[in-house]
Amino acid sequence: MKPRVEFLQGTLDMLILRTLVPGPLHGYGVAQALRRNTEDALQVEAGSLYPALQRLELQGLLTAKWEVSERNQRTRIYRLTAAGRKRLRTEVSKWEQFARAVAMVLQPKAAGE
Amino acid sequence: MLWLRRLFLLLPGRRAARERELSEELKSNLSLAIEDAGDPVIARRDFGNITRAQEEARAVWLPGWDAISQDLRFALRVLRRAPVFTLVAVLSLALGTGAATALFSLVDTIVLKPLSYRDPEKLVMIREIMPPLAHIYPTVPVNMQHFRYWRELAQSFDSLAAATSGTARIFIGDEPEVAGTALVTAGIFDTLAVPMQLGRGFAPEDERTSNGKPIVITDGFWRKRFHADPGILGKTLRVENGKCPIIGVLPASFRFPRKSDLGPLTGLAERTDIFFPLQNYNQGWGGDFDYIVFARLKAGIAPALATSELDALESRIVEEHKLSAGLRVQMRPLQEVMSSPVRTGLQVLLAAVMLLVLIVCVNLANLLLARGGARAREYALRIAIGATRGRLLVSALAETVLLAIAGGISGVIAARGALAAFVRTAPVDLPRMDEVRIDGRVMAFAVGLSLLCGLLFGMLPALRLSRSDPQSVLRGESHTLTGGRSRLRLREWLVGGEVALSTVLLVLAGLLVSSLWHVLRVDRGFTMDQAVEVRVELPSRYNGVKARAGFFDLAMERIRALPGVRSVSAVNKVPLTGESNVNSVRVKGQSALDPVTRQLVMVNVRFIGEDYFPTLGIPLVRGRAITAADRERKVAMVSQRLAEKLWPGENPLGKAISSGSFVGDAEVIGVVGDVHSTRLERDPTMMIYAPFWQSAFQVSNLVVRAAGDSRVVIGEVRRAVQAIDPGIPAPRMRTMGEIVEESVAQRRFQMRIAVVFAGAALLLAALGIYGVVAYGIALRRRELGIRMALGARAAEVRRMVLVQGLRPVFVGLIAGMLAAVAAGSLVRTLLFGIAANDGLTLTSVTAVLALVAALACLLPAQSAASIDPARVLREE
Repeated sequence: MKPRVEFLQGTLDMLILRTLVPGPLHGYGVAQALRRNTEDALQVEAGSLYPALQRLELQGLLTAKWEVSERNQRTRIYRLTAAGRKRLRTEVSKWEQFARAVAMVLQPKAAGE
Repeated sequence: MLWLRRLFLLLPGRRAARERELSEELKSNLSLAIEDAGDPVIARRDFGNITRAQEEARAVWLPGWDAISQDLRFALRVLRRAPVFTLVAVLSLALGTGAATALFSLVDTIVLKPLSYRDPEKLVMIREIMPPLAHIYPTVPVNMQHFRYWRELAQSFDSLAAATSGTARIFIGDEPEVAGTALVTAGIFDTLAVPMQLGRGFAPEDERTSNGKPIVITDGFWRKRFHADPGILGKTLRVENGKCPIIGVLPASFRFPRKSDLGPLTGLAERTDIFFPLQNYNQGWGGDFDYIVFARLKAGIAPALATSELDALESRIVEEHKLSAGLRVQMRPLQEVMSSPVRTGLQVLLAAVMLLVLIVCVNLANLLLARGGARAREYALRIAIGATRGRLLVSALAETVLLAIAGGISGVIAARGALAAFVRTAPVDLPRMDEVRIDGRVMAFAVGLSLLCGLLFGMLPALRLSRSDPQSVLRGESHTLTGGRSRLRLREWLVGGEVALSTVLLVLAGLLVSSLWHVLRVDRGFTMDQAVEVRVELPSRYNGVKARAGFFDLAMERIRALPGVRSVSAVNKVPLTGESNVNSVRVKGQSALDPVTRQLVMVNVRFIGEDYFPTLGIPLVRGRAITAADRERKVAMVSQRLAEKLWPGENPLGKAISSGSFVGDAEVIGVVGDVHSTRLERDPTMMIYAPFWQSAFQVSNLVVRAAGDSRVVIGEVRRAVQAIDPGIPAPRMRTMGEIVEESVAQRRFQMRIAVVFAGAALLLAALGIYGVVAYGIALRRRELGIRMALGARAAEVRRMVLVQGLRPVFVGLIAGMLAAVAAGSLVRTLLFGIAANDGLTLTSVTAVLALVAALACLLPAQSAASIDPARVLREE
């Protein structure tokens, strides 16, 4: 089993928003998708995931509705709102800037060329 | 948005619903995970900690809420365990904030809140000053010609407008009714900046009679009489004999100043329903100072500049029209004019409320200190097991906040009740009373005040306690004596302060009670028993003095024949209802100016029928009274003061006097006793009495003295008047007793409030004294037990407790007396017949306070004296 990666502050929120871009999902579905897409590198704890979903909903970035899932189970389905998409764009561009900066520090040669 | 959603979550039930939803969501998602993994144990491990998810979610919803709600719940439990303390604390807070809030909303409405006109600071009221009259009337209303002259030439104003009152009979169907009316110049509603609800205000053309008689009505009149008919414009109202088209309806918020708002001689109706344009003014330039004038200052023009401009115009008027006396103007902000009659009274009440609030605070601090003593162990224990000071303070804060909120809310409820009572019992001439209500500002004031009291005084004991050394407290209760002593000393100080504040309030109340008593004991000059005023308004078809006098003669004849009536007469204005027909007096063959002061002698003229003096019980001092035989003769009677003023040491009978247009060279045939015509506090007015047959006014009064119960007579008199002419509106009747009562209503109102406050203060002080003494005894049970075991008698213990308990009371009493005497000058204008350091008042206050304090000490003293030494010593 691969070691779990610690999240940077705010990163989880961005990842959740990104996960919902293809379409609405329930909470467990979000966790599954994150796990699948990172080849099990990111396993999100319920203790982090659900409060994060609550926070995003409270901020108006997601909406949630009780619906019957594809497996015939009533659960809460989360959807991205317009505000959520906008936030995701700014977060992603911030993240890219940050990642580029970190990369420049870690690999000075690549940056110098 | 985020805070709004969070606020929403604070609503009752919202958070619980959210929690239920989350746990259902977690359950359903977990079952999906279990289905996927096939093994519940592994699935649960991978899924993560559900409890933590719930806790963290709660922190997302309302950060910090858990800790706060825990503190609040704990505080609630603590308070519920001490119901007596909680009740007393909440009640005293409610009392303080309730009284303060009620009074705040009064002061807020009457003094602080701007008038409901736009830019009220630019609105001024203008009156004229006539130097020869200034010793009686410092200012008088404005002459119409002068007003027109200003309106034409003055540059300092955006606009000027004048108004005067009238009463008119209107007809709704065939029923005659009296309505309050005002005659106003064009543009008055622009000057006051009132937008019309419907239609328009008066334009300059409306001042010409060729335009008919258009009227503007108030919102209230429109709703009451026309059921808010939206198509009212163009319809007519029957007024007297003519039909008046309605051209405008004022907005609901509009309020025309009432007579009582603007001081004496302003001639406005008590309530104005209908506005007429002022047409054909044919008065001269000299007299007839009848109009109140409002003006709106131009931006950037100071009132002083505008005053000097008008003063210059006045000088030109005096010169051009060769007036005998000089003229100047007085200009005051309308806002100030409308609040000044009650300002002093309200300020005193406000000071009284502040004292009461202070007492409440002191009492609260005292109560909390007492509880602090009882809870010293609890605090020490909490410190010992690791609670930080901050933590203890927060939990104390939670308690006081709960108390303060409960106190504030009950305070608002109490204030609502108190305000309703205020408004109901308030004298009619308290300005803007109908606007008083509890609004957001007032509520914020109440809760804010309560929180301030709670936090300021509730935190003190907690601060003290959290600083105490837990070891010494926990080690032995037998050593608390010294620590308790110093705390006791602080509480004695507080009691002293409380007593001092209550003393000041009691002295104030005592002075006001005594003043009212003195006012009511003033020799009124008439007897009020069984006398009734009957106010008759004759329709305009009774034109001419003969027709009107004929009506009154007939009415008197019919009323005199009624079985319950002893005597009846007529007069244009009964005593204590104000001045009227004010004129200078001139003795035939002498100058009108007083030889000593070189000023005009001003008198009131009353036009009376036969039997006026016996009907009101006014004594005839000299000569004879006017009888029906004097109908065609020029005779007059004078009041005693006037006789002494005009003919000191001489016989006034047979002299001839003139005054105004109705008394010309009349022979003085009698002298009667002085009568108070404005207020009992003022000196009686100098008076001339002339026969009413020569000048019966449109609106006049009959006075009736009943043989038995005056209330029985009222109905009969009304029927008798209406039987003569059904076209006369039902006369308004008041007993003279009611008139006297109305004249002191404001004073009685102030006194009543002061007495209520003083009573509350006394109660709080008694509670405080009792609390301190009882607490002191609880601390000293062992010591007292030992004393008694060693032979102290119960009576000695009782005396010792009493003496020690009363010591701070007497210190506070003396301090309070000194403060009250020092503050006496502030209330001097409210007093009558006594000085602010009135000996009797101060002695009675001392006696009452000492008695109440002694009672408050006696209960704990009794329980101290009944300590059983054997039991106390065994308790260890």
